[in-house]
Amino acid sequence: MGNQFDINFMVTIALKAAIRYVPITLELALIPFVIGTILGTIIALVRLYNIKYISKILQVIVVIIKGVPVVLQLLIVYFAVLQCFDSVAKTLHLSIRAKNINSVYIGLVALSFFATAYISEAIRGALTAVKKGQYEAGYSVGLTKVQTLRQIILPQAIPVAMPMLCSNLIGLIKGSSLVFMISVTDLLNGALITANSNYKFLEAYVAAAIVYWILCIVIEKISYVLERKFYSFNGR
Amino acid sequence: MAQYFDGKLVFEYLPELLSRIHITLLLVFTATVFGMIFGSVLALIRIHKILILNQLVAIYISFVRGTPIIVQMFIVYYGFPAILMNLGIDINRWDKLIFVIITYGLNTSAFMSEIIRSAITSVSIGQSEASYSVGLTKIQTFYRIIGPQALKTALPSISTTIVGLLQDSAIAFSLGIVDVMGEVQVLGARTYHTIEGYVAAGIIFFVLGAIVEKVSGCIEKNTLFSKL
Amino acid sequence: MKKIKLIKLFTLGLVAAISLTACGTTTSSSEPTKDKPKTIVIGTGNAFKPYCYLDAKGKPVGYEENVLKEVNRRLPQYKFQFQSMDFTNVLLSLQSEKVDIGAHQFEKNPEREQKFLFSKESYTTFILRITVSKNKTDINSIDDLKGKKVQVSKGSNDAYVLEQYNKTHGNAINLVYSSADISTTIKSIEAGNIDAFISIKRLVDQYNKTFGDKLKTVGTPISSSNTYYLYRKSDTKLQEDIDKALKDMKADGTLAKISIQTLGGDYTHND
Repeated sequence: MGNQFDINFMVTIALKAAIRYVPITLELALIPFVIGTILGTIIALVRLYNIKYISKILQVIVVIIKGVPVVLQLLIVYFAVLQCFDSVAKTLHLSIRAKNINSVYIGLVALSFFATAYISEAIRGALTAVKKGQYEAGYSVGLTKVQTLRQIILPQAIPVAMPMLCSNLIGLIKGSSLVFMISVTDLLNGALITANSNYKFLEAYVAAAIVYWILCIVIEKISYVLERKFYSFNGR
Repeated sequence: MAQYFDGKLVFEYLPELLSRIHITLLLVFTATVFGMIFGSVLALIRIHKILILNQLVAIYISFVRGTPIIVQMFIVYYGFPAILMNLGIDINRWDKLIFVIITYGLNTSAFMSEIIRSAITSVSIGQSEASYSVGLTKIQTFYRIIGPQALKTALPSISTTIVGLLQDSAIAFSLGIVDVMGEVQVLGARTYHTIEGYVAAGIIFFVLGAIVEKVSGCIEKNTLFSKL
Repeated sequence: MKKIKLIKLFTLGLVAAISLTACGTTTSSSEPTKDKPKTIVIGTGNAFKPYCYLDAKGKPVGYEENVLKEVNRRLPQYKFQFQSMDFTNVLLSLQSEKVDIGAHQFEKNPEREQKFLFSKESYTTFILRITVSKNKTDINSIDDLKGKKVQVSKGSNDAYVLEQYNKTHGNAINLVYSSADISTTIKSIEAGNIDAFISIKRLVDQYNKTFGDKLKTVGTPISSSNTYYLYRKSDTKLQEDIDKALKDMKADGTLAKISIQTLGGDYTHND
């Protein structure tokens, strides 16, 4: 019966191919995540304190990045780099040309924009979850804005933000598969490529799903542990 | 660059893309409603740690969040009918759209349940203790005290998830359901101008996303409990 | 650890359920007749012009549709219905009996024959050629691709052909897998990110018309493979009937006519 699910293929070829590309997938997820967290926190703070004009501009930018399909953002960055890089490099007297840039970096840039927008929203939500009274209490005992943030607000905001951040990271890991559009092979497509010659796509998808799931479980476990640790500050 | 991108075409393609917007909206709307209801149920199971269900729900959420949505689509579209077939029920003739909606609903529920769970646990326990002490039942506490506060925290994340759904709807195209993103592919295959199509879709999604943001912002500001 | 084991079992269980369909369910056993036509569902693509794509109203059109409509005319005991979906799903739907015929320019090879039944008669010839930038002079045959970056896609046979070449030539060609659409591909060629990709002459001409004269095909075709319809292993009667119809269509020139009409040339036999 030629229709059997070929476990042998799945484990020996597809799974191996998927695991081979785990480093790239992690790279494409973790680096934008870190950048997104740093920049996202700044953006969230700016919007929280409603700093005159910048806050409004950032709001529009975040909405745009969230609304426009990631694929399009990826393509825009790709075309922009290919178009403009050479002229910029020549003026700076660098010897690299656009074609020498590994497309992974282009993917990282595009995904970083994307991650920043989403993470800034998650952090902003967490910061607004902390009651206003906490901010006021901090100022009333003489702490500056920064001190209040660091010592009172953030410890309470982090456990609220954790689940969303965890979701965002998982989303980045799965979303990184889009870079296949600019010829970067990640976990999912690495597995699918092995099915090209024998049409065993179902096995390839399952292999990729298993690897993704394991990555996700690891992240969830870490997130859960951190969440519990931070919640202990709140006396829960 | 002029040959790769023709701005005029973006506007030419808009009507064709808009003709599929009802599919996108249908998917997003049903997924959101289903997701919030089922997601709340799942969240409550997780919070109250109801014996066996808690573990099952945890595995379900982990699976749905951790695997690509296309795999979930395969399971719903190919797997469920297979299992039901062995029980004698034939659902192979159902419209493909139903399978897509089920997949999205299940997928969104998992993500929503995490958002709701975090929002509910973020409301400090003092609130529920206080309300029990004045005599409110568990359900009354939830509806009047915890719920609204949790909603305020969850709203930004919920609106983000909805906006994200707009883009996720593209997966339906692999099964043949043509939504806005799918129409971009159809257009691209016919005219080779995929990029103009994506830009047109980007405009549509941006407008939709902005509407969602505005609505959620209004809800945020207008809830009576925002005085906290 | 226990949780992970549970999860793996869960997945395998679901997958086993999916594969159960193929072996478990029975197809209708009555002989189809002219008065009681048996409905056959055909899975074809939705984004592969001019073979299988959708028109502005969302109806499937293209070469696949035209050929199979003609086949249906000659086989009145069947009633063909078309469903469009992407490449992978045609295969999965065929396996799980959601469609009965796969029509997406499938090319035959022994590995694939393990899983599916191919038709004996081919109905198109896919002549793959190396495509490069108009001003490139150093690539003129497949051997010149050694050490160069060649973009291949998942769907068509181009990856398979070059992978086979690499197997016997020490992995000389640098294969870049991608799902880039055509404008991204042409941009990459222009910028030098990739040195070549694989396509067929007629499409290259169309790309040049749309994007300006940037591409050319070089050298002899790297593969002139035939494409076939796909069936489940058990559907031999269906395969025989359609093969006969195809044979007749080739003999009396109808297939060639459809090819010229839809594809712009006679791509139905291997010379």
